[in-house]
Amino acid sequence: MITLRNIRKSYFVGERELPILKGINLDIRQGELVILMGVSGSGKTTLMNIVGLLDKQTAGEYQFMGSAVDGLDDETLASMRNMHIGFVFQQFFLLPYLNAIENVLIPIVYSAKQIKHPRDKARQLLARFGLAERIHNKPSQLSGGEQQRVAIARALINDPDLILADEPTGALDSRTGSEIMDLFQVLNEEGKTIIVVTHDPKLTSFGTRLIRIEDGTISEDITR
Amino acid sequence: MIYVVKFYLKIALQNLVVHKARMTLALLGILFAVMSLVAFGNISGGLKKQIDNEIGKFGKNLVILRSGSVHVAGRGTHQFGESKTLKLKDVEMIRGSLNGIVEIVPFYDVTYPARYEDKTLTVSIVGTTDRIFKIRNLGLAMGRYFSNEDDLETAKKAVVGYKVFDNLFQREDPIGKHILVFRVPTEIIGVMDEKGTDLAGQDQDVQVYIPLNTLMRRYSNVDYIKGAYIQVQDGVSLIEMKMVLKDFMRRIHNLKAEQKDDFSIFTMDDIMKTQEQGIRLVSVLTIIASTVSFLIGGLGIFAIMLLSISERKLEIGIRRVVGSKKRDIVLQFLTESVIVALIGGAFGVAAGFVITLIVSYFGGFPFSLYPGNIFLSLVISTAVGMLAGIYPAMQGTKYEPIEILY
Repeated sequence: MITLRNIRKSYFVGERELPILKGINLDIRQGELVILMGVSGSGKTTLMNIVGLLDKQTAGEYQFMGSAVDGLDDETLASMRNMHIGFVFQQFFLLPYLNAIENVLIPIVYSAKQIKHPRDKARQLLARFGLAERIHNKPSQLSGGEQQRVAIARALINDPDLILADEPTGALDSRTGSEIMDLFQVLNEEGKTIIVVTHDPKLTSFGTRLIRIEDGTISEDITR
Repeated sequence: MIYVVKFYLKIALQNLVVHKARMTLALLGILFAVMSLVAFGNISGGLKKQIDNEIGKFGKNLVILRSGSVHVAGRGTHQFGESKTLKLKDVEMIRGSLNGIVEIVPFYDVTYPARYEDKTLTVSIVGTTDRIFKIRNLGLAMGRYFSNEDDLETAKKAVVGYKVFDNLFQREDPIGKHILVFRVPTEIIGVMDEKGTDLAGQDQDVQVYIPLNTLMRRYSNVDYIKGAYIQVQDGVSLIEMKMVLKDFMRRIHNLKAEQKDDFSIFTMDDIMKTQEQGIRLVSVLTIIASTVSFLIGGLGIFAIMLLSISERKLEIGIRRVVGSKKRDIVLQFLTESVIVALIGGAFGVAAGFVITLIVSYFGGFPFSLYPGNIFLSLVISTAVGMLAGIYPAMQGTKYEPIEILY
């Protein structure tokens, strides 16, 4: 599903080159639950942004779902994100003035996919995550765990092929955090491909595969 | 597509509700602009309708000849110079010599108190012929008009305006009663319909019409008249008739080139023109005022949208991540600025109605609505909303999602 070949990413500070990713080679197959682990500054978030089509590599080749995405324009990338990738963030990133179900429905607005009865689908997703009574609540009326579950429902509304979660438990207490991870596990068992980016060593036990990033390179890659 | 539009509308309205105070300020300019356009459209329309009514009341295709020249005394005040040179034979010569005239009706008018028992009322006594009733569309509320025979017999008979009847007689039947005109008992034979005030500001209901000969020979003892109403044929230009009449009058009065006219000629057009000039002046002022208001309104929306976009960077980032294209962002913020402008416009239309109602109530002219102006103002509001929103909306697309979210 994802093929990265010799991916490099550098930022330039004046004349100086600041390498973040130093030649990443990685294949991720359909149905994996990957824990991408690394300390702050290791390059894991940059890698996730490239995989999520939010950022572009400086050098190297990236094939997403069998086709090269290098050189595609912003608008094409936007609709690829919309159709194929669901995002979950540490800070949830829900829109404060929309209620739960409206937040879940945001990707539908930009979708070229013809999802039938999106409202019913959003309601079902929220109900499945235990939020049936909360669908008309604003984010401020929800707990952190509830907000993150709304965000996951939003990531799922468009039937993505891949879910990218960046520190999804980072803003949650450990019990709520492991509930969220259990949720990812269940989704993975149902066939979703999921990549969870984290620095939290407690999450090493999750997933079907563990990849460690250190200083811009892959230092460990274990498939269970 | 419908879903998308609904979604944008919903977000726009929610933002409006969240930021009531600043949005209100932003749309005030548009509100005032639309209010003045709509109010002016309705009011000027009402005035025009009133002018049309007046022309109907006054009589069609009329040219008025008056003795004496008009001089302007101060703003808007016209005074008639005194002149005793206009005679009945002039009227006969005009009738005999000029083409295109349907009817010419001489008159002699004078303001004087009329009396019935112990009540008096200052009236305008008009001596004229029986043809006046026809060419000036004077309808009867009761009784009859005087006739040509009454005029030949110098009969002391009068047809009075509605207010004369109303003030002097209350509920009494006035027909056959005598009022004192120049201390001469004069029999009332008819009462005219209520006519109101004419365009020149003259009250039409305090007239007392009596036969011309009666007034000239028995009451005032004069050999000159004050003027004549001339009705021209349909299709004859009133302006042309004015010129022809002026030349003719100068000729028969033997006026030399350096002498001023000893008469004046006007038509309803002149009176209308003065009124329409007034309306036009107000319309220019209104257009200036609403242009300025639209500009201010546009700047207000512009500023609010810039602010709103910098506050909602995070929202833009989230939208971009989940797949919104740049044009979706532009479209969304444009929707918002247009909605703000249109809400301002809608309130402006409502305020314009209220003003129209108040002005037409106190100004005493018919209330009328001009959908054209309402439509135009809403179109302009939309355009202002778009123009004011386009730059801020474009700004919104400059942020890359990863810059915003991390």
